[in-house]
Amino acid sequence: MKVLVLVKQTFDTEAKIELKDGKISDAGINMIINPYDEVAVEEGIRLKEKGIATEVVVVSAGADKAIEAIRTALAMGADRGVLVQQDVAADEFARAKALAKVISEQAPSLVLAGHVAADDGSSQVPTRIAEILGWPHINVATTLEIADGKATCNCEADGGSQVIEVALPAVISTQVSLNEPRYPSMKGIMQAKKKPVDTVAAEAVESKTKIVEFSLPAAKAAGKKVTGEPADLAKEIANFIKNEAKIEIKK
Amino acid sequence: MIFGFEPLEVYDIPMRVVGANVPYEWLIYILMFIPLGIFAFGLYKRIRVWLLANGRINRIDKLGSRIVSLLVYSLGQAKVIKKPLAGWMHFFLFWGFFVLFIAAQIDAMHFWLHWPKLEGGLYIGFSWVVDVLGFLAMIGILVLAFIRYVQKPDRLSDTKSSDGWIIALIFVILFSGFLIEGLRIAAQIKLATRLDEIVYEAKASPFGWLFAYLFAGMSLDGALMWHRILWWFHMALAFGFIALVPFTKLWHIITSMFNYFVRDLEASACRMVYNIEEAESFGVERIEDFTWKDIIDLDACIRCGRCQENCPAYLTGKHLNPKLTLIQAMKAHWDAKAPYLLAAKDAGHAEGHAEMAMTAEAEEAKPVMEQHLIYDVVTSDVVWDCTNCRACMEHCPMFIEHIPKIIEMRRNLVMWQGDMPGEAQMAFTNMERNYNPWGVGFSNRAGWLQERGVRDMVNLLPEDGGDFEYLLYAGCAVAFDDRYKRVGEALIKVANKAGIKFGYLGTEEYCCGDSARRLGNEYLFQTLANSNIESFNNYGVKKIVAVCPHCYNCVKNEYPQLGGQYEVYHYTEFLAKLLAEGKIKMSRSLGAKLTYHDSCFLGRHNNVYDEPRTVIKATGCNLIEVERGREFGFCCGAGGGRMWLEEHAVEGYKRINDTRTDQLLEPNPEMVITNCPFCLTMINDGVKGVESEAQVLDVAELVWRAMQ
Repeated sequence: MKVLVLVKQTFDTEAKIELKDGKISDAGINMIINPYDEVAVEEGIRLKEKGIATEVVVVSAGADKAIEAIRTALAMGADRGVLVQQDVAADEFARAKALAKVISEQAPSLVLAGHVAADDGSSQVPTRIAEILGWPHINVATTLEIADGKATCNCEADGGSQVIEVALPAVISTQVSLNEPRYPSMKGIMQAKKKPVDTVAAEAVESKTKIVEFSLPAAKAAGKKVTGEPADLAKEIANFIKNEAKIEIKK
Repeated sequence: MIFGFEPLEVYDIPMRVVGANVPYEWLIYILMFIPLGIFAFGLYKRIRVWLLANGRINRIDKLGSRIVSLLVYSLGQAKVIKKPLAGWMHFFLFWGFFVLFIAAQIDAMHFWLHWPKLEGGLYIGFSWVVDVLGFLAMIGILVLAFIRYVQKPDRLSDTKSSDGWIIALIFVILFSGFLIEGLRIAAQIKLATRLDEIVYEAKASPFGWLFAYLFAGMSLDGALMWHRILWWFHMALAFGFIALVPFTKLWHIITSMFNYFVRDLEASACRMVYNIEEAESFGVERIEDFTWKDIIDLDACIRCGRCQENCPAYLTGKHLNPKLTLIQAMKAHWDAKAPYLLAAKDAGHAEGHAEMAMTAEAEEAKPVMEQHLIYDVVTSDVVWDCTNCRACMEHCPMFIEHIPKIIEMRRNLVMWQGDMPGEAQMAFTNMERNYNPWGVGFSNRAGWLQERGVRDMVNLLPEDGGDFEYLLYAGCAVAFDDRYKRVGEALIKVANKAGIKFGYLGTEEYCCGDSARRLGNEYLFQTLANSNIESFNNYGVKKIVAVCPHCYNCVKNEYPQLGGQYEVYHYTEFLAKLLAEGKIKMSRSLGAKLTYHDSCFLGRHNNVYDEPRTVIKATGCNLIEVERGREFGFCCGAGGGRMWLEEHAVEGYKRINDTRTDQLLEPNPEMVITNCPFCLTMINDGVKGVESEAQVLDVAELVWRAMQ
């Protein structure tokens, strides 16, 4: 069984986001595999270690440097990679289209991907891909069992969890609680250098959405210090809560 | 003359008696080749086995220092006597045996060359020394037996029957020697016409003279007969002793000399992996891949247990016991495996075990050859338990290198097997992405300066770019640990008042890499270290003041391996220097009662014990020394990268930091003083846990308090 894992290269989660000319600047930013996708890679490798998967293919759509994310996944233990060259500004629709095309060419039995990307947080791509391919889809899986051509997952649902079973091939998006991704060993890194990575151009599809403007969250205002007698202070603070912070107090 | 012998006489002048009254005495000069041959054969066999080691290490440089080391630690027993009672008893035993051995050599030389002549005063003096030291050796072995069998300290918990019969052999050799001497003197007394003809023996052989009293009632013939019998008995045992050396624990007599000569003479540092980019494997997975020094270490271990009784992991119930679960476990594995490796080498096959499988020994061979050093012999629990506190290496009288072995195995686990605790993975990822083990965004590395209001007191090089004498290598804790930022602040304020403006690299300062290296991630260490060295060189750094002892040890002792040579101070050394130069003036005497915790990386790894104490005392505090202080300092539990790993308390024991906290709070101090961010965190946790009122402060904070 072939398992295909989708990974996105994102900013390090601790990176300091800065805007330059109205766009997010990537100067001096460390790029990583989207941590949610890292879990999907780990799950693919574990399926191979269990003897369920025979091959783990890592696919990433993005700029040329996204090959680093693919190499990291290969160092963890995936077998080969495909880099889909695409403008990083492509929206979820264009991205899903491009990836779905590669997936249908690769013809895996299972597609794994993180349920959300740490940068734009849109949670759309795996679901759109399942829709385009017409495959069953499980979203936000916290467990995964493969048997008799079926996948069974526990999933997060509002206020609880649900167990879903689908026939393969299917697209499954993973939650971080699914596993703990491994740290690539030097042995893995050395072997990864020899593993094949194909580069293909993304299917030319126009994005359906356009980002109009980026803005940073307002800077945290400095605190206000009050001094005086306890009784006066209490009045002052109450006044602040009511009139300046405008917090409604329910009775 | 062959069957005859020299009769025992009373001589005109005091004179050493060699071989008189013993028929066939000359025979021993032929028979001695038997034990010597066995000894040489044993030595050859052990050295062949040592040469099976694949790892390379250069330990034959600096010959002068090595010869001094050999003399100081063998003849001077300098490390052995660090443990007072057992050490001094061994000192007596060593010197007694050594001098008796020399005396035997002189006798042999006299037999062959008739030189030197020991007569008159020379004889009396020589004989006195041999007699007294021989007697002290006998006292020594008795006390050592008492310690092992009556006191039974925990460190000797693995006593074997061979320990007993070796003690018995040594005692019987010494005791029979005195009986022979006593018989010979008793016979001479009986032969003498007047007592004053022989009375010089009371001076020359004070203890032999006492033994002679035992035989006062014996006839002359009886004494002469017993003298002959015991003489041969004594020689047979002495020869047996020599033959047994390579095959029993007596082997330590030889291995200790090897180890005193080839010990690590450098400052404490992890072993360097050169050309890591081209390496084809990492760390040590098979025991034969260790260096010959590591293999000799296994032979050198005399099981004295000084490592065990000072190991924080062992003392809190962990799997690691440096003696038993590390060195002795490896020795047993090596002794079992080496014959197969030798057979394979002799057969000219690199992979000898495939060949062995064809022989009758196959069933026996398989388990040993298939045992995995890390998983089956030492176990990964043991490998991860170590805090690199260096207590084992500090107290080992044999200079066995425990930490390098642990680190080689960690390197294999991390870089080759990819098998490590999840927390270690997290720390590595954080160091890779944000250059600090906490994983806080690196872009804010200089933010603490503003936060603590000391931005203007330092020269933030990437922004201000001015001249500076000392670079403040603040380290990750000062930059990202809220509690430790206050220590950085205090240090900058103290320096500022002393008229010193540090240079600081801010975002261009990376983690020193100590935790990565000691957790086995050599590649990550070298990446971080190279970045730092590049930054240091960019700004022309010459002198560095490090806040954290881990940074200090790493930059001072390990960066030179990568070409980074700087004058490095720990900030306590720096403060002591400022104090001595009169640049620090205390405004008040704090007068607090406090205890001080020696961090392992400042203390044992770098022997900095006095400077922090000098600085603390200058604040007018009453420093109470705890029982485990200085070289005996007990680790806080965070060294060797364990800061980032969870420590689970073993049932019936406290965690390492809680154990240490109890020791530090024992004198009921108002404050506990540390010099390391890891120690501060660990001890603070411990103090909170017992709801003590004691404040945990760093040396810098104490000094700043006294200066205000």
